[in-house]
Amino acid sequence: MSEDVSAVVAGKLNEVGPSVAVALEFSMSAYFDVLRGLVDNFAREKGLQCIYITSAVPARTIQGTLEALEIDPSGISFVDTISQMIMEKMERENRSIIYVESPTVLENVVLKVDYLTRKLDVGPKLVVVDSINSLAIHNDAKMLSEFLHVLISGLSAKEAYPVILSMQEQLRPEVHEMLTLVCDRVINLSES
Amino acid sequence: MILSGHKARCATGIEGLDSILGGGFPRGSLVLVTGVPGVGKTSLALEFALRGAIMGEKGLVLTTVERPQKMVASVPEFDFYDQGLIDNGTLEIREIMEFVDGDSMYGAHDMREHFAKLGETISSYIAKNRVQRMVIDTYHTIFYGVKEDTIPRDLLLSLSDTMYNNDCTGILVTDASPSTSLESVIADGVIVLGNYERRSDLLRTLQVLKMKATSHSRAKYVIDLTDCGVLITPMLRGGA
Repeated sequence: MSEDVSAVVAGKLNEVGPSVAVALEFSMSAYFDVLRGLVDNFAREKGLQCIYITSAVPARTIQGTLEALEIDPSGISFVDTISQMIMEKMERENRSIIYVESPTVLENVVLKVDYLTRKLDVGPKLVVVDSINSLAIHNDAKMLSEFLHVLISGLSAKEAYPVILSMQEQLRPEVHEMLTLVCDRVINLSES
Repeated sequence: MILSGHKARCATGIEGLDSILGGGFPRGSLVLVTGVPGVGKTSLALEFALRGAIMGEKGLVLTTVERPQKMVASVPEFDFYDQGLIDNGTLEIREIMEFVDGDSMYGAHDMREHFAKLGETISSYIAKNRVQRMVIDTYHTIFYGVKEDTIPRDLLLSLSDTMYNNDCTGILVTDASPSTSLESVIADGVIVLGNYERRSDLLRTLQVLKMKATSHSRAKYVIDLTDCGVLITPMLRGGA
């Protein structure tokens, strides 16, 4: 089952190609499989560099999770929007993590992604927003839709693969509606 | 005489700013970059000069408060910084006092004459060395202790002429209020950098208030000062 979900994620993203903003809706129980599908099955297989925006848990936790899943996180650059806000210890010397003050400063998230796309090697990138649910705790739907629009527009021009993660159990109707408006494709993994 | 509405552009090399300005500053213009301390005025001005030098345009940066080395050290360590451009003279970073006769103009009997001489010296240097980009950081501090308020105006008019006549594009870094200062009226362009507080977050912002011969956005943008240079993104409105 786990491998199925991971393979489905990679398969779906391979189908849509670059410059297409994809919202992935799935059950919380499938989170780790989705993570593996994105980072291991899709990005690694395609040779994509990965920019991972985390707003639910600190980047260091995601790194630890990937390590536990035996996935090498060293090629992933993180934009961590939560550590500073919750006064978590920040690893300033960790060059793979860039911190943003809080998930409410969405412009700075866009700027950090822009910064990373300039600093990383040339080539297409996978940009993951984890997750729209946690961003929705701190921002209203209008702000979020504008943020995603700006982020996605900038990434589309760079042939990147923007993927927005969305946990169904926590998804408010207005956020789901916003995703259908802003993203090019909404993929519900439980229907796959 | 042919009058043309089209003005050649001087690409700042700052991607987001050039987009806002439709390609860059009008060539030969004098642009005021103003704002409170710590918002990135010096970074923006220095990047303008550096990017120009990388494109082969001769640049002159005049510091009025800090020594050149300290000024360079005060901005992010740009990854496009090339010491070779300074070594080969494409970019000069000098103290403005080097353009003044004697040790100091302050306390001189005829301040007006001294500042007029300063304007002439800068002008002839720009013409002789074919300088295409000039930065003065910061403009206001030259006039501390100067009581006659027509002196800053006269020097500004002189610099504006110099820019126009030599097809040189200039930035004056200043802390003048953009809404009331005479400098804002005289300058061809005004860019305001500032802080914007939203809830408890403080954002660094950029807004082009004025740019002659340019159809430009007047919206507020959020900026980040990085080693890649000044990065710019639209400020989110949240439907407001």
